[in-house]
Amino acid sequence: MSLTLDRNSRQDRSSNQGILLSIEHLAVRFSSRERTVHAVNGIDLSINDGEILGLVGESGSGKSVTALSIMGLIRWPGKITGGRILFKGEDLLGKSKREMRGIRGDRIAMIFQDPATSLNPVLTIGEQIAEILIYHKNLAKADALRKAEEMLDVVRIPNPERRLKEYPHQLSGGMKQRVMIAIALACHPELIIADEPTTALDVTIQSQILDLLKDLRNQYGASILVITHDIGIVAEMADRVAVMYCGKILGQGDTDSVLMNPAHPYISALINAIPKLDEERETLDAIPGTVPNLSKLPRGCSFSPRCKYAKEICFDKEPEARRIGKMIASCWLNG
Amino acid sequence: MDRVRRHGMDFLIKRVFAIVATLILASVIVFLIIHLIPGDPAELLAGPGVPKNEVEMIRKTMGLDKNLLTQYILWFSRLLRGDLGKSLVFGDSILPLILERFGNTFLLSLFAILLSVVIGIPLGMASAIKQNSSVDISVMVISIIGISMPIFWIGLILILVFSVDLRLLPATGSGSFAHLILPGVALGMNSLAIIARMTRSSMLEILRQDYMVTAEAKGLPASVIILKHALRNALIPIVTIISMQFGYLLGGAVLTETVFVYPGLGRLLVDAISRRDYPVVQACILLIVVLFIVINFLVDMAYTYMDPRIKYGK
Amino acid sequence: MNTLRFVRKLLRNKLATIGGLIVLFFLVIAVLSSPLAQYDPMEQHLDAVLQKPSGQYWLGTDELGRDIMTRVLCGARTSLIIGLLVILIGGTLGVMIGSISGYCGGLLDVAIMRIMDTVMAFPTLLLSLLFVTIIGIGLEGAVFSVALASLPRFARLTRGSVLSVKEKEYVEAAHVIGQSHIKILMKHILPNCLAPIIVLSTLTIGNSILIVSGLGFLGLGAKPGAAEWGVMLSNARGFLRSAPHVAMFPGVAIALTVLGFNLLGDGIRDVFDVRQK
Repeated sequence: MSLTLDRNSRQDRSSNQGILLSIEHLAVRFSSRERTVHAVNGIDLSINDGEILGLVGESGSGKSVTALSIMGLIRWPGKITGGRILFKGEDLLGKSKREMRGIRGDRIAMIFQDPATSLNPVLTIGEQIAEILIYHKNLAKADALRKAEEMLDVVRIPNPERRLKEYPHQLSGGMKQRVMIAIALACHPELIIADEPTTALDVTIQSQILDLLKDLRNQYGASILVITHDIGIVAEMADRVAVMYCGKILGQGDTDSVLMNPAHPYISALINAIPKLDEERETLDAIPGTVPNLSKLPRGCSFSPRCKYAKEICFDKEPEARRIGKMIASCWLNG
Repeated sequence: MDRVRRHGMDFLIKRVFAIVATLILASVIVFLIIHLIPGDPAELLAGPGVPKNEVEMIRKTMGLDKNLLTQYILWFSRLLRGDLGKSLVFGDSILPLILERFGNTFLLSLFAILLSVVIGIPLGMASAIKQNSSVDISVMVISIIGISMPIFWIGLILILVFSVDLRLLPATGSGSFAHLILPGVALGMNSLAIIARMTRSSMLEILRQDYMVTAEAKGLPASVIILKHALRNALIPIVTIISMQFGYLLGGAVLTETVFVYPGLGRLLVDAISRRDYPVVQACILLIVVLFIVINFLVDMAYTYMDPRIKYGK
Repeated sequence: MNTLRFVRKLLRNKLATIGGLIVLFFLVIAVLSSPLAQYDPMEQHLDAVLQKPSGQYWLGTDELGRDIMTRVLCGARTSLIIGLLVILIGGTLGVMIGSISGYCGGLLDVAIMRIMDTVMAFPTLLLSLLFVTIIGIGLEGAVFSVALASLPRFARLTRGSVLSVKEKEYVEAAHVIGQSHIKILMKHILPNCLAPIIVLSTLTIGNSILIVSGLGFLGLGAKPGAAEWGVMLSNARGFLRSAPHVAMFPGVAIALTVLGFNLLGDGIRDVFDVRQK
């Protein structure tokens, strides 16, 4: 996927748009007998109304954990050790289990990575969509199934009436993911979290799903948090982007700015690592080194061991987040 | 076991054919038992101390002087007519005797399996949901003890406590519901332990699956997540185990029936063996084998029906 | 596989440790039953019938005045021999059949496994009853029956292991070098199956003791007067009210011993499983 900056499809979200979700200093750790992993290390992130935010990072960077934290799905041995998650002003971390269950699926919904394993094999498609309506919107079963059929149509699945009675294994991968989207959309949530929505799918299906998500955002006005390791996806559909590394956000801002002026060596390295169609290349520009052990993070900036431009202070003190042009970045190189 | 991934008539027909073939094979084996026992089959069937001419008469009627194939056909045709011969001990026709005893065993086994399912499955579920908690550990310990204790000893203890000391329940015989309780509990203990363990491991396996996270992400109430999403999946292997256990109980209530002097199939078999009542032995074994094959077949069908991936294979 | 590390891992599992201790205790009293026994197991003291445990008869006496403690000890030895014989006969035969089946594959494999599956579908006790009918009543018949009934599980297990290792490269390499089939089997394939076979053997010993004592209880195993736990329980039935201790001790002995083997077997399985993960 090449990095064409699709300006036309992106809307200009200025800062006077309402803030839907605001994460402040979130910290999540996983403890076992042998060690403690700090999966999320104090991040600040916000999503505005109706915007698509891309959260980019390698595996292990903490992006999925962030998503699960928003949903309130962090379970032992994981524990949220600090911060707030403000959803329209209310702190989700302070809510009771019951309240969270009311919000999950209804106001905030999630789409998972592997649709093949994320759908229950012994329940029909219709049942799996209808139940979310039955429990959140108190619909009768017949009404819920009718609405489910509508949703299948919205996500562009042909023959929705027949599909209702089918089982997940009878559908292709792309269709299964559409069903997941239908489930997520059923209650018209304000926020949809898509965790690597296309990673498990064929390349040809990928763009279909992404287009679908974009159109749905336009239709329903929901905000979407897209979590991915693929910068190309972010370039194609996200209004704003945040880059995570070792549980920290290294930079965030609107997509154009971040991609054009990264303001962080890791981000520029990510962008450069992708070969471009009109370029002549002999080797891939991979980032040297490996992701550090999350239970033994280096002092100072977590990227410093792999950074070409690291200065002495980078190894010593963690950089603070600072506004550089149109984005916020945490890097000592910015002064 | 490999399963044909197609639902429909030819699948069913195929399975029915297989079962008939197995039944015939089993009948051949059972038929051969008499010939495997050291000694002259006619004498064995006639019984000890029977005068020579009677033995010869038996040899003639049973066709034991002819070749094996003819014998088998004779035996099989008699079988189809319902003639299982006469008991050497009771002198009565075997078929009604066996059926009556079987009915008793069936009742007892039903009670036992119901008990073990009603208690075992919830215990297993609780154990899986609260893994490594005190509930889990106690269930695990109790179930492993339940598997280790000999049924006949459990039976004796139950008799001691409830019949002898407390005088609450009858120890032996049959005829009323009260007579079912003690043997039913003794018989069910083992199955309870196995079912609880199986439920636990099956649930644990299911709870780890991705679709359970999806169910949680939908914000569904906990009871729905556990019962509708998890249990439906976990039950598939559990139902198999339950059916197998039922089969075990039917054929294997031997020890329990002996302890409680319960007039069932198991005790009939044991008595027949010790008294060398070979016609009865043969008949009992045949019945038990047939039962097993039929139950196995039903389990197969149940499995196919319960798992949509098999029922509606692509 | 490092034995010391294995033992240490095993000890970390509390239940397995308890099982191991019970088994150890059982082995000790079984082996030392002769010197430990105060009396002769068949010796009747008709003047001290159905006595409660006392200083003279530590576990009391049964209906013929025989010392229960002695008989329990002898029963332990009998049970140990039974268990060992079963895994020796059933296990060895089973492993042999399983290896041949898995190694040769093809129609032979299918046929053998069909037979094994059919046998496995029946409860061991029923199978034993069937064999006893043919072989005859008695302890030898009982042991042989249980051995035959346990055979299929060993066969299946071995076959599974053989199948998984058969395709590996070092086996092919051995073929190429020209090692004989038997050598390949013994040197390369079988050592991999060792772990699950050990687990199965442990559990089988416990199960055999359970079944053979069951047969003894039914009067189809050891002789009526023998010092075998199942037979002892059968005799004790008539005296439940007057002398419950006669039934208690052999019953506890069976339960505890089988429990020990089950806990130990489960524990060993857990240790191997963790390593596999």
